[in-house]
Amino acid sequence: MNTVKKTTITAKKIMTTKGKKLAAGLLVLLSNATLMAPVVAQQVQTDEADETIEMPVEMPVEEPVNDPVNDPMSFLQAPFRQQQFVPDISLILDMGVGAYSLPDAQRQALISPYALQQQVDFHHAVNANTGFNLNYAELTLSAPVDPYLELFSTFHLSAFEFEIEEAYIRSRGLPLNTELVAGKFLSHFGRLNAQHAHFWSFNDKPLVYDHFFGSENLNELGARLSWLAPTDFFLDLGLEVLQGKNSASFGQAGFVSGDQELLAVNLPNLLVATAKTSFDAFDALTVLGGLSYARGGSRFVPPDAAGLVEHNGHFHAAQAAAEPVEALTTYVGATQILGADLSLRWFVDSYRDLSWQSEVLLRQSQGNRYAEGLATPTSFLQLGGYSQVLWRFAQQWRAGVRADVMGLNERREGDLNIASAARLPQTRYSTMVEYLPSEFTRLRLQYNLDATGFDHMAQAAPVHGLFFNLNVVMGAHGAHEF
Amino acid sequence: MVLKTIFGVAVLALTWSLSPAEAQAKLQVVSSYPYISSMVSEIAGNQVQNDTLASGAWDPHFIVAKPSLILKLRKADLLIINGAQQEIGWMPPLLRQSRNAKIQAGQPGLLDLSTFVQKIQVPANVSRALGDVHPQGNPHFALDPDNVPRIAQAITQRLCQLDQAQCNGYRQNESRFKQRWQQSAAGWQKRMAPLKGQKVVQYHRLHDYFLQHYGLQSVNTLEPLPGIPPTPQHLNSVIQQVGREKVKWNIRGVYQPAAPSQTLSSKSQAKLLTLPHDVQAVPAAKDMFSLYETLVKGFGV
Repeated sequence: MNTVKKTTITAKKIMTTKGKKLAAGLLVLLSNATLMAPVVAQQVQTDEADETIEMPVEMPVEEPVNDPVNDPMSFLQAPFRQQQFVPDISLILDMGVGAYSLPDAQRQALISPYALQQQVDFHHAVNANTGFNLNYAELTLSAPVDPYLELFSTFHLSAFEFEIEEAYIRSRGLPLNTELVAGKFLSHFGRLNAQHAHFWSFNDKPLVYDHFFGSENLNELGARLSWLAPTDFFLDLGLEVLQGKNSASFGQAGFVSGDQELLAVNLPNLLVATAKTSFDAFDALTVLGGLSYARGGSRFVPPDAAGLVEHNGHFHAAQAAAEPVEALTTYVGATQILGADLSLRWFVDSYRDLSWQSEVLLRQSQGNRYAEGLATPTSFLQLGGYSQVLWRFAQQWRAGVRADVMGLNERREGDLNIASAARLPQTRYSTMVEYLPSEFTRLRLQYNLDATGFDHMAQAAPVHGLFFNLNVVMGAHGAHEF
Repeated sequence: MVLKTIFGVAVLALTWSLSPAEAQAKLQVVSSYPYISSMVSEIAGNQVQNDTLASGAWDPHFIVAKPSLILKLRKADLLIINGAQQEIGWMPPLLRQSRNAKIQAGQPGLLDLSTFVQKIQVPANVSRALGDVHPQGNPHFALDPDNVPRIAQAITQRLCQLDQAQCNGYRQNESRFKQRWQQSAAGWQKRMAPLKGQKVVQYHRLHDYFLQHYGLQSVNTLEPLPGIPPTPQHLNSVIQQVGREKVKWNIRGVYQPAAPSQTLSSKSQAKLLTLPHDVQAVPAAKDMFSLYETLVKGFGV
């Protein structure tokens, strides 16, 4: 190791001329380099043009010599360069083109007996209209903040809006296999809630998620502590303390009914607990199951003077009351949601797999409905779910079918059961095929038959929808979880 | 109430089965690919608990991030990865979900082998317009016989750092392994010598280190760009090139689709070789020695 000897001497020489810091840095570099077998002698010019040091650096042969990224001495040329600290940045774009069998205005006025508040929440709806749709652009930025924290953020961009969809810190290296997340984030409730739209297997998400959590899913301010239990099987436990503003099931707003004023809730009032487990039945078959439980206070406010209902900071027209079921507004109660999910995935080879995924969500709430200051004991119980099968049959091709079912729908006000059992169950069927020209582009054709809507005459109004969607990702986007 | 009870019972049942035998004396080493764990067992024998994440027969770029792999990482004292972004598509979520502080980036419990070897085909500029390129160069460096001792050395040093008590044993095994490797490599060198200068096409740039070491010339790939499956137009142009340049071999990795390579060989003189890229990619490749032996034998020498 002749080269190494020579450099040590040169490094000593530098210590006198350039200060200890630089020399110490070089020595660290050297000691690293001596550990590495492939040592390439490379000429590095210092800013003192006459002084050339020969030093071993780990450097691929085909690298251009003047490469600022890998050149360990580049700080001499650009002392305040921060380029290498740029976080991972990616932009995802989703657009679709297609048509529905009903005119948009008519279709958007349809009522589902399941939508408790009867409000139209198309805010983050995908393919909201016939014709071309710019569904979203999603900008993500993430990087370690320091040795202790990572920052992850997703910005949801629509044609005229820029929203913080997620912005949270994540602990790095907490002991005992725990992790703490704090900020605004998607709850890990169920199998799908935490997934971003571009990772969904269909253009739209299951109906039960739309009904129970709204078009933005359960996305809240709060903190999450998760723990990978020291068991012989996979067991991931999580506990979330959330503000509970989600107005599809929870909410905190105050309102006035007659001469009674119901004050707004300010403290966090939503708790979510999750448990996930998984095992490989054979080498090629993976089973994943989960249980989720959410419990929080509910406030369903009346529409404001303009007839608008607030949903996660956005205002939507409150729907006309559905006959014969009236919209559940001016409601104060406690709601719990239980979710159970099961996924099976069978791998044929590196590029082919068959997966089956199903989820059932049960929502139960008990409270009072206020009218002219009078409280009527009110409760509701709803059950919904979906089941889907996806078949990736070639490296670039995947096809799938999904059935959405909304089953149980009980609602009691006083002694009356006012939900309409005759309309059950309600279903939506979807089928899709997608082609991925590369890992970063996805073309998807999806057909939906949605039989959950009723028109203002309470007549069933099935809607057919056929959409072709393009989803592309640019930049540094992290790999996804299972 | 009912919901609460169900959930409570489920959580209780799960906590009840917490395993008591967690504290194990042996160092838990987890490797991303089978070739790495085979080298760990050469150096550490059964002095460490040795586990692997990926299967050798599958595309190393697209290993599924199964939860069972998170379980393996949770217990790891040392995670050894190939690096050079070969695991970029599946390792980061696993590492994060493992919630194991010991093996995160920057800790001594994470060893990136790619930093100990010279990579070839390092692009000066990267753009996804050029396909799924590896900014740090071709990551399949374990197929250069000269890199194998370097990998052995890197593993030994890290094992010594984390488990000083057994260091002497590790070092002895390492030098024994290197000696055996040198002997075998000399044999392969002799057998591969007549193939020097012969031309090769590959499905993907998977065996470049091996080919370059033995002086074979890789003139094209069936993939028009890395990660993009063969198109009929591109395949046709490769078939013509193979005829024109008298390309002798047509190499396909075990996990790559067979049809394009078969089409090429049926329409040209290039002989189709389906070669392993990792230990356990084929049953015969049980360790590094038999992996290389299988590769050399594949060329009929």
